[in-house]
Amino acid sequence: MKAKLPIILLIFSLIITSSCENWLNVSSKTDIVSEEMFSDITGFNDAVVGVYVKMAKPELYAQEMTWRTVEFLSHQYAEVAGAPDLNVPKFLWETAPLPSKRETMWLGMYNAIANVNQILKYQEQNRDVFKSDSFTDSLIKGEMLALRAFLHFDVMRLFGKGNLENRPELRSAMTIPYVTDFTRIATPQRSYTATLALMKQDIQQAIQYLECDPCRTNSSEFSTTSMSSRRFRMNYWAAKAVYARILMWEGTTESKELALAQALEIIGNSRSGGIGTGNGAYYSWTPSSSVNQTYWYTSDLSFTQEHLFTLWVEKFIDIQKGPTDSRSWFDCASPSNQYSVVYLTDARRNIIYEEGTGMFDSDWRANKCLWAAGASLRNWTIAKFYNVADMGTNFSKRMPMIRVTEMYYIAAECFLAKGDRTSAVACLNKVRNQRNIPTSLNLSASLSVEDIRNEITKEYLKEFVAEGQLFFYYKRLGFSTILDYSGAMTDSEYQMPMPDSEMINGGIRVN
Amino acid sequence: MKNKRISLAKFCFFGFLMMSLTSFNLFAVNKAAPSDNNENDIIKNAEVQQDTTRIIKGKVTNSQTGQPVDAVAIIVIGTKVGTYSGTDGTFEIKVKDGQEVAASIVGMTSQRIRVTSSTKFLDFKLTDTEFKIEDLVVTGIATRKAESYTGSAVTIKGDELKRVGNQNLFQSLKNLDPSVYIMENLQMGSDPNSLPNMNMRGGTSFNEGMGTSDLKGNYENKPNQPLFILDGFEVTAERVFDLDMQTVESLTILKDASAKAIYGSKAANGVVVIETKKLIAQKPRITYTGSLDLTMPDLSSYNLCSPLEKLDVELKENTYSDTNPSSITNYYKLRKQVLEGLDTYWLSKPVQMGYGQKHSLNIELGKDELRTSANVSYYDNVGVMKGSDRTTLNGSFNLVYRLKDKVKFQNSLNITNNNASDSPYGSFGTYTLLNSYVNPYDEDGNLVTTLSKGGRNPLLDATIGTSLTSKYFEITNNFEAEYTVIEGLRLRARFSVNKKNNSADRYYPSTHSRFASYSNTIAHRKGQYEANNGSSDKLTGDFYVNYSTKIKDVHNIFVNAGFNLAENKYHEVINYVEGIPSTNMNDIMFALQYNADKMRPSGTSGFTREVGVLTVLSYTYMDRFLFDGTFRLNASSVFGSNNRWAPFWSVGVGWNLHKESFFKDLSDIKLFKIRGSVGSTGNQSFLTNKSLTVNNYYMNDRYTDFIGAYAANMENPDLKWEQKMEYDAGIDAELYGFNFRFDVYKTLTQNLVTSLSTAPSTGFTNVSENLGFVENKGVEAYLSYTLFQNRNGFLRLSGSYTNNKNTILEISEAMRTYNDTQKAYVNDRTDIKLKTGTVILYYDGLPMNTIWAVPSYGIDPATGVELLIDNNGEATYTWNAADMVPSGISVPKWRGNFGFNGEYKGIGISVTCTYMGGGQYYNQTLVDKIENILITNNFDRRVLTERWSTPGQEAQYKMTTAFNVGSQWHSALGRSQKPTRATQRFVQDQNELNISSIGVYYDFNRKWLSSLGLERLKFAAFMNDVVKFSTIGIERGTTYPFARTISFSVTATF
Repeated sequence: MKAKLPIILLIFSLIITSSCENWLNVSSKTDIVSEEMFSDITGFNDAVVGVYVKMAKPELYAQEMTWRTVEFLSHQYAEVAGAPDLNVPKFLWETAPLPSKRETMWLGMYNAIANVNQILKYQEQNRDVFKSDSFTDSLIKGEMLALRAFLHFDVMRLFGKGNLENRPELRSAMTIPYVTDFTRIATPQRSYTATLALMKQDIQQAIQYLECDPCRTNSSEFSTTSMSSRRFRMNYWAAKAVYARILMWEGTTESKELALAQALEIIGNSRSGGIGTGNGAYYSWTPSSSVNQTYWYTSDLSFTQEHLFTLWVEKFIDIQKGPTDSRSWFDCASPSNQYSVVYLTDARRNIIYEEGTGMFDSDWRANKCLWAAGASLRNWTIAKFYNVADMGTNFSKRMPMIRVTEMYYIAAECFLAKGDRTSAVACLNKVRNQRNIPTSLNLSASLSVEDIRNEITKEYLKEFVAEGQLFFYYKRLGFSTILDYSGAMTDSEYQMPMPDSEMINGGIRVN
Repeated sequence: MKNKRISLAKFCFFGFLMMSLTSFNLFAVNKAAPSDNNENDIIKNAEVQQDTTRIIKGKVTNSQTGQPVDAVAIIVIGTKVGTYSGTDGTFEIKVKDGQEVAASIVGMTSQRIRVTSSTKFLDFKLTDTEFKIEDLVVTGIATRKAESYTGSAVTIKGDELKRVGNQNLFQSLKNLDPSVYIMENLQMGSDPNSLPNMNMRGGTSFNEGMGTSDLKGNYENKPNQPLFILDGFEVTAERVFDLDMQTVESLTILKDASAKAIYGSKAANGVVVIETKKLIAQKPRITYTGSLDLTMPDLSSYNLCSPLEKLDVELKENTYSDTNPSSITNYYKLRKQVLEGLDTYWLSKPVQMGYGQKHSLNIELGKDELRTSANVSYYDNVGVMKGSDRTTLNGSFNLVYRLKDKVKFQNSLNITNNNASDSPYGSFGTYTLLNSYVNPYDEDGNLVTTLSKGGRNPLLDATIGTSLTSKYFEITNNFEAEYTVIEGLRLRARFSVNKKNNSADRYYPSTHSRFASYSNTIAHRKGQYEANNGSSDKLTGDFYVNYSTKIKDVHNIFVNAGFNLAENKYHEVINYVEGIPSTNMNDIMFALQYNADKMRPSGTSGFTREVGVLTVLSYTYMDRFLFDGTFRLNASSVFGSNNRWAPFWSVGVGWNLHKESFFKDLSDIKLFKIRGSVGSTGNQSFLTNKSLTVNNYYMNDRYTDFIGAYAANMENPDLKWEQKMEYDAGIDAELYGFNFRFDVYKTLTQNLVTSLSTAPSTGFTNVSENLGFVENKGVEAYLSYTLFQNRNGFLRLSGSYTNNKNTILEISEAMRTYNDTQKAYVNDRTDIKLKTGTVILYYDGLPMNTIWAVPSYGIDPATGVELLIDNNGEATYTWNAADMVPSGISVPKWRGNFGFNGEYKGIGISVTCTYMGGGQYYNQTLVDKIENILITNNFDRRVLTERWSTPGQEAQYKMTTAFNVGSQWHSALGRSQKPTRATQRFVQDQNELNISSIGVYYDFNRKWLSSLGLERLKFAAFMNDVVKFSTIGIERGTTYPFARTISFSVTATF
């Protein structure tokens, strides 16, 4: 008996230790732990949607990363004395409200990334779930990898340095952490080259996974209104466009060549008589009828059909409401009473839409997408994002992440870099014509390189009002002066410093 | 999923296989041996009967008291013949000359008498082994001999517990052992429905704010609460609170690592082991205990203004305008009414004389192999606030089956039904604020709806059908099987099933005062109902092997090894609804909608599993040198997958000096043991799943047509159990009539689970980490002296002392952030209607219970404003959170009790006093009643006399501010004066002496009783919290009044 006892105990302990791991893997019904969450496709789908919900939160693309903080940095908006964001366009990073905004934007972006990484981690781990559904498997993987690149790229565009093209010395400098693991341990910073390489690797893989994306071949999958449309997701075309954006930021000759290829594929490459005269295979240009509806709020003023990737912002009306009163940020009828307001001044509109030219009167972006309000009707309401209750959901509740027109501008820039002025001008003319600028005013291919470059800048000013892209365009090319700002633009203006909490808790961090 | 199931099945299969294999083996051995024996027995018995077998009578008495002793096992050595002594101590047994008869019972010396032909009567005189059960330490897993035990443990007998009170175990425990610190609840006073807060040897867990207070099920343990083991299985504090004290056999407090390590990951806060009565009687026996408690509210600590005084203050503070005729008329009108005799004593309105009745009936049945007992008890405790009540009905049924001293089966079933209701009168505090010149009744003596000074009459709330009830139903079944394989080797398996359902209903009718401020637009929301529904299921099982042997008469070895499994599920949900238009509609179904402020149901749920493996090795050399070693492995679903298995261990050594030759001859030294131990235990009572990522759904957001989920927290698979290293050295001694126990201890709690700030680039701002060190050290001493003890009675004096010093050695970064937010929070509190008191801050090198306050010079005689001292040591009028300094510790540094108990010819008396001191108290009630007051409310009388009023006056209290609004313009300062906030002026030293319990009883003479057919009859009376002497005056019981209880009880055994 004595001899048996230890043996029995040993066997017991062995059984216990070997079988317990699974037996102990339990949790309460109301706490859905990850292992359980990602045990079926529904769980994965819910988590994927969760990432988009997060992106459509006000601290990210429904507000700060687009029409508010980032757009304020580009000096697009009128300055209203006493406004809460007055210090933002002054680049006073350490003065309220910027320190807290830096924290929330940074945290929000990385929280979305962490959610992406969690999905990718469990997709790797729970292969069984996708055994019979390789399509969903591929689609989720593609979307998540592309979003990881997209989100990191925007963090880098905001918190990193620009104008890499002309500053090759920067490539070995440290930039933002590129986080690929779902872990509590802070990811070390890497150089711009290494970070861009990771970004490109992710987006290239994403494009491969997304080759199964139904919207590539079936335009109904790219519907503007269907709630299950791929347009509301990081789709194949959007991934391509993200790739092009990243390559442009990298700015080398080779990367521009590659960027051009991406842009042209997106545009549709139907180059008969110039660039893309017809509709693309999957997108179509906004027709005059959509723009000229009975009311401004029933018209398609943000050209939704041209969004390559657009975020559905369910509560856009609520998000647009100011903190103190219930008026919308886009309601500029009496801005002196309301500091929480964004609009274009009369002067700004006159400059960017080139008053005195034929374009000023014909361009929908000047006449339809903006309408006058306030004293002497000199405040220009940004109608494309102004969501009101009367609106249908066909054109509202959307925040474009990428427009097809940006691909035309990228193509133009790349053609120009190669010395192909004809193609460059053709790209720009195509967009201008689609915006109701008559062909008689088409740009001539005989314009100087400098002039064409200016025309591209003008397009960024006109096209992306309240979308945040203008600031990134300035920053990418390292503009030393920008419109409506008297100071010089250097890294200290362009680069939003990392938040303090990251500097304190992130280990070794350099800005 | 599939994998999981397979391995679970595998596990179960193997488990059962092993169990059956072992048992098969054992039974096989067993079967072979006894069958021989049986045959032999039959032959032997046959011989005996033919021969000189005769029936002989005998009696067992207590050698000291001369009283008969019942239920003593009388065995003829070497045979199966045996019996038990009856209630009169007598017995009859069949014996043969030359055989030896032994009488033995737990707690007394055993005695053997050899029967010779001349033996006519067997007269056994047994002696109490002086501290009956104290000689055994019941750890809940094994019962150990105290003499050879190296752990620090205190055993308290059921009788002792009952001697100092009969309300509940905690109440009695407070008076018996100061190492369990049961905090006085200054807010809830004597509320029969609020569970006490307690800790042992100092707190270790940081309070970062946990849980919703609306929960009623008590499924989540408080982080500093000790572990309660009832008959071997973990139970909640609530179960102990509602336990019928009559059924308690003993209570053991395990204090140091050597004693606690057997409970591994749950033992860090100390372990309280409660054993209910084991069956003793051999003949049917019925015991009834009934008691009646009278509970009297104590309102003497309130020192409120009389109506005239209050009117004086109001006049002085210009509440009545001289220029406004109606205003000043109002004053005179009131004054007239008061002079005519209007003086409403609001404090008495919601209170009553509380009473409690308790009935406990115990029936013991059965004989020999099969014995049963049934217990039914009923306790109705009507509190001093009208309508507050707690009723517990408890039934239990125990069954023991013994087979030839080899096999024992025991099953106990316990059912508890509890109904509690809270007073519909609301918070007692409301009534302390009402002016005594306001009459709640109209001329006809009916309650008025609106009081003359405005506001709803709170007395009305109780008349409209407000109902605040909660209840639970709990059923527990414990099964135990024990098998003695050979002498010294015992196998034991236990299994426990526990199910509990709880519910609570809070109904506030539409006319309730809480809706008085609802505007017309939300009038449809009036009438609210909250319904809690919860349940819990616990399955626990363990299997242990005990082996003890003696080698060459000098080496004693005891081994205890085994494993345990447990599963615990709980779930509680609260639904909040509103819009119940009529007061007659007292059901959740009548509600119009969900509560617009709360919207969704809330609640809590948990599902945990755990496994433990335990080995205990105990070795003694010639009973002189003692060694105990414990090793426990615990695994729980709560912990990170990378650290699933947590080892806990302890080593204890002891030296029985009284067994040494140089002490052995001194017969007055009965025990002198020096012991020491070191070991580690853990604490796992924190919110589950901090190690794993929990995913939540975005409930209020949709993306196109879909709903999304997100990771709510970052995982930490490396998260470990909270670990506590414990060092303890002590002495146990019984010499020259003294009983002495002394312990010095130090504990170091590490791996405290707190949140740590992370780089936001991880996606989260914080993650749960093991961080922080807390040290507790202190001394515990206990001394008792028996003045005399003989057959007529005894008198014993006893006293104890304990102190504890708590120090935070290291805190996390997140804790610093917590401190900063706390400081910012108090800095913004400038309105007296908000909480303006102290906040808890945690800093390295300071105790966890530090009181933070700004140093003060006192009241400036020139201006009547408090002069504070800022960080630079300069005087300032401005209160700033950054100027707060550690100003005291809110727990007593030392505590203890002393008293005596004695008995003479059946009359017994017991007096217990508790004392404490060295701590401080921030007298917030004083602040709220004298300085932070609103003129519309009633307040302390000292407002009239002791506050500053004229320049040059040296006053204790500042010129009262904040009369009509949160702050008042102060012309001398040229600014608004803020309400009084945390200042050292109100930090008071707290030293207390409390005569906490007086008990008397009379135990009727048993000889006389037996003529009445009674076995025992005892009357007892208790009073608790008799007098309190304190250096500070506090209004105890702000939400629920404090009360004193007198209790009378009778126990009768048939």
